[in-house]
Order: sequence, then C-alpha cells, then structure tokens
Amino acid sequence: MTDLGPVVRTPDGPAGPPVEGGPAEPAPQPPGGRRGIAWSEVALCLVLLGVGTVVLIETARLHVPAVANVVGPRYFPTLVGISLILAGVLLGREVLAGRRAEPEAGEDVDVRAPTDWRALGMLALALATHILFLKLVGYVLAVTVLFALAARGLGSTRFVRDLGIGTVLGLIVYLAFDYGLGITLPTGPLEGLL
Amino acid sequence: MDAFSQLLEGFATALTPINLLWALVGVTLGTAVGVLPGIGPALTVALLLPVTFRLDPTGAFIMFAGIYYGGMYGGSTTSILLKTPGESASIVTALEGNQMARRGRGAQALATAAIGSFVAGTLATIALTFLAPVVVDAALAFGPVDYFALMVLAFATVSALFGNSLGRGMASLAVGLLIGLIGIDSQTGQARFTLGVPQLLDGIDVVVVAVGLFAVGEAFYVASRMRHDPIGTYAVRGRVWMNREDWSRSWRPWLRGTALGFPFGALPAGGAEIPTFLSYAAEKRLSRKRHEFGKGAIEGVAGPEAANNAAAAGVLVPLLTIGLPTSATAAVLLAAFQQYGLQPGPLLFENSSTLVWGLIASLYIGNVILLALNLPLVGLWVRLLEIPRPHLYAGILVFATLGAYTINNSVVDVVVLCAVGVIGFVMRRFGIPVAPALIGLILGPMAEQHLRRALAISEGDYTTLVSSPLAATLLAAALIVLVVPAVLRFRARAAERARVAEPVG
Repeated sequence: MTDLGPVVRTPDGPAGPPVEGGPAEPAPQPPGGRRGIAWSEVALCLVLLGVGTVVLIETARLHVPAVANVVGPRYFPTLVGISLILAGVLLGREVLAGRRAEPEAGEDVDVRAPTDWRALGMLALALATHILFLKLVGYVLAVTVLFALAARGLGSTRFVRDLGIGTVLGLIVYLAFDYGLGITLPTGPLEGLL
Repeated sequence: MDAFSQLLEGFATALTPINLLWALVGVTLGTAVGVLPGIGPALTVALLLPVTFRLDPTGAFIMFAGIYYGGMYGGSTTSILLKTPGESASIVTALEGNQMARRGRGAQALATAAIGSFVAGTLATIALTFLAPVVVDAALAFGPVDYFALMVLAFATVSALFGNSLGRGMASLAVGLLIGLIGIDSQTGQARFTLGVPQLLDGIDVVVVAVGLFAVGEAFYVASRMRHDPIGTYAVRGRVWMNREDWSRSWRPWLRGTALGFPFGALPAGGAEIPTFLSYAAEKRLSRKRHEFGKGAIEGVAGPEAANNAAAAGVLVPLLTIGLPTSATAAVLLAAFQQYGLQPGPLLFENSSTLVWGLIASLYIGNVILLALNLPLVGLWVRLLEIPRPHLYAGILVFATLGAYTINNSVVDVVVLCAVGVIGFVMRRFGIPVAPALIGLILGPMAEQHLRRALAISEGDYTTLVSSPLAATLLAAALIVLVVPAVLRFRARAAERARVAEPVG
C-alpha cells in the first residue's frame, strides 16, 4: 500500500465550508508547513494511473464474441480506464502544485493526529480472525473475538470485559436472527447448546 | 385527481396495523442508528437492510421510508449536540445549532429542527405526491439516449459537487464505476475483472460496497486518528419547547427552507448541501437579528434543517420516477429496491403501484411518528451519544460484517467488505469523497446498458447521443457543471495571486 505516514499533520486551512473539524479546533497551522509536495499523495496518483492502465490492458485482452454488435463488452471499461487515468492526472496536477489533501473531518477524528498503525493493525487482525472463525467456530465466538480485538485496537483497556460484551452481543444477534428473522448464522461446535 | 386517489389507496396500504408497526420500527431504528456518531443516513439504511430481508416488499419499503426520515433526523440531533456534522448537508445545522446548545438552548434547537423537519418533510412529500406522476408521464417517453444523458449529468454533478476538487470527485466516481464493471457482462456473457474468483462472477453487491466504504472505512479511519480529548456533549436542559418568539422566528425559515430544498433535491443533479447553504445565507440576510448568526440564531437551524429534509424528499422524485439516485442514501435505497428485484422508474409506478404509493403514504405517516417520538425521547437519544467510542466502532464492525454475510450467507462477501473498507479508509485519509463511488457503482452498469442499447439502435452512429432535444440539453448541462466551477476557481486563484502580489500595508 502507499505510504500514509508523514504527511498527516497539516490539513489545509479553512478553505471549504464553514465548519471543519471538531469543537475548539486550534487556529490554522503555521503557514510554512502547508506547502510542499506530499509524497504519499503522489503515490496515490500513481496508484490511480496504474489501476487505469491495468484496466485498459485487461480490457484489450477481453475476448469479444463475433456476434457482439457495434458496442461490445470492451467499450465501457475503456471509458472507465481512461477516467481513472484522467482522475490521476487531475489529482497529480493538484498535488504537484503543492495543494494537499484535507483529511475528512468527523465526530471522533483528530485530523491533525499522525496515523496510528498499531490501531489499524489490530482492527485488521480483528476482521481477519472474524472471517477465519465464522465457519470454523461459529458466529457467536467469531463476534466475541471481533468485538474484543476491535475495541482493544480502538483504545479500550479492559479486554476481559470486552470479551464478555462481545459474547452477549453475538448471542443476542444470533438468537434474534434465528428466531426473529429465520436466518441461521453459522453455529459451529456450539450447535447442541443453542 | 389521479394522484390523490392513488395516494388514498397508498394510505389504505400503509395504515394496516402491521405496516404501521413497520413504519414505527423503521423510524425508531432509523433515529437510534442515525444518532450514533459516525453513522450518517446512507449507512443507517445500509446497515438496517438485512433486518428487512424476510419482509414482503411493501412492508420492507414502508420500513425504509421510516429509516430514511429517522436517519435524517437522528443525524441532525448529533450535529446539534456534538457540533460535527455526520454529512455535508448538516454542516450548517452543526454550526448554528451547536452554538445554541452551548448557550443552553439545545432543547430549542432540537425542537425547531424536529418541527421544521416535520413541516418541510410533509410539504415536500405533498410536492412529491403531485410531481411524481407528472415526471413518470414524461419518463415513459424517455429513450435509452435520454437515460444515458441523465446518467452522464449525474456523474458530472457528483464529481464536481462532492469533495473539494474535480480530481478527487472523479477519482471516487471512477473507482465506483470500476467496481461496477466486475462480473459477467449481461449482453455477451463475458467475465470482466473477476480476477478468476468464481464468486465475483455475479458482481459485487452494492450493499457490501456501501457498508464497506461507510462503516468499515470509517472504523479504520477513526482508529487511525482517534480524538483522545473528550468531546463535549451539551446536556439538554429545561423544557423541550419553544417560546412564542422562537415560533415566530422559526416558521418563515421552515417554509423558505422547504421552498429551496425540494426543487434542488428533485433535480436530476440533486444534492442537499447547496440548498442548506443557500437557506442559511437567505435567513442571515432576512433576519432582523443578524448579529446573532454564528452565535446561535434559531433561524440558522430552522431554515437549513427544513431545506435538508425537503431535499431528502425531493431526492425521491428522480429515484422513484426515473431510477436515478442523486445522493449516497438514494443509491443505497436503489440497491434495496434491486434486492427485491424491483427497478425504480416509470414502470414501477405501473407494475407495483401498491408498493410505490404505500411507500409515499408512509412518508407522511413516518413524519408524524418522528414528531411524536422525538420531542419526548430526546433525552434517550442523547444518552446514545455517550457510548464509549471503542465499543461504538467495534459494534459498528460487528453489524457491518453481519450485514455483508447475510446477503448471500457467504464469507467471500465479508472479505470483499474488508477490502472495500481499506479503500474507504484511503479515500477518507486523502479527502476523496465517498458518495460518488457509490453512485458510480450503481449507475455505471445502467449507463453502459443504455449506451449500448442506444448505439445498437443507431447502428453505431454517435450523433444519436444528441439526437433528442432532452439528451442534448442534459449533456450540455453536464458540460457546464464540469467547466464552470473550474473557470470560477481559476479566476478566484488569479484574483488571489493579484492580491498577494500587492504590497501589504
């Protein structure tokens, strides 16, 4: 993936709509930090250009049946590939001109914080375990693990309590879907108990 | 009076006890989920989709009507009490409403938002009732060329209006179009971009993408830069009611907001942001207490909230009558229709008129329920804002994976969900708007179909694309939407450069 690391500290000033960020946002950044080329954004543009190129190549390799009329299965993907490349070029012009991305503001987001890779890793681990566990050990346990690991990644410190909350949540969802909606989620080895 | 009699039939459908129950459940769930921080109306609808899988289509859509309006209202509650808007259409509400909350007038801000939403929602639904059949009549004559031009216009407006530059909007749109290409080409049976994964032959479900972009992407993004200083929530004190002065300062903004919001929502270009900004500007100009603006003027909440809700009803006009979603929420609603094998458009009004009119009737009912529910229950909704953030987002992930899994009972969908979540994270990180991707995903395949049909009819003659006056006008409008902001931006930058060049002092 692209390098998301070092650029984060400097969102652009209040160029957009009246509200940016949360309450008590300190005044704009020192003007010196605003300019300059953000290399992670250059990488993003390269990704767009790369994906666009791959789309065009893959499209060219599509087999077009002889019966296809004037506009075959290649036509629209070609347009999509071109628009990806065009988007990459437009974005690249902005980035090279030194205008930086404004990370999206949100209720629980500190736009000036650097990326917390440990938290992201924990969330990825939580989801990967959940996917692995779904069919293997059943829905309830899979949710328990997902909930506890994700909460941990998001800053919760009481792991055992989170395991408990996760189990209860999983049970409620399982039973509500089974009895309420008639949708059976994977049961796993707990089959006899539920 | 045709629309009127059909509306009465719709009420007959919607007022059965079971359907009333679904409307109530929808409004309650919609408000509760919409209030949660980080969850806007689009995600509310997407997350609650699996709950409706076993309902009959009419019941399901009556519930959706409730969820749609409830999610809108819940979102404005969050904006007022937490200041930060869940979506761009609530930016103004967040600005002015939060100032009211800080001055101990949160209760009045919530009340004017609730009543304003009711007034605007009801008036706009009336407008929808009478406008929809007219548009349907016109849309019956649309050919593939006209549909294609409509979609090009939608693509142009979402790229240009969402996000703060055309490049970013276009990047998002193109990603959505690409995801929409995945799967078997319906006309030739060719597999496209499936990477050899058999489960991808059917394409990627819109709901998986919506939930992935919004829920998983948001969870990743929040985790990556969590705000650790506590956010101030403002307690709602005193009576949740407005005094005589509040009323007299609110009712005109409600009506003006409605008048601004509905037409903008109903245009095929759509969007609710512009009317909310226009309404705010208008109220500021017309108010006798202009000095209060920015410090908690009630007009600044009443007008934009009404505009937002009227636009939300207006968006249903192109969605129901021509199958054209112009907001992220509408795109998810369209996906919900498709889940039931229904294609919104003029034919829907002919073939499933019970369902459509039942849905429209329950918009009226949902509005009444919302008003009855929200004023007394505000205290309860506020409590939802206090859920600890780790548990809130962990819970969002639980329901996101649940939603993805239950669509086809397939783990592959959960894997796709996570992959889309990573894309959603990267987009947020780089300030690329998410909504155009969703609209591209859902309209892309339709645009391709109409384009191919049009060119097949004309035997490859491209001039057919501008052969109908409507299509030519729409394509010209699309061009204007793309070119005008760029020109304006260029001139603004030139002016700025000139200003900077002048010696200061």
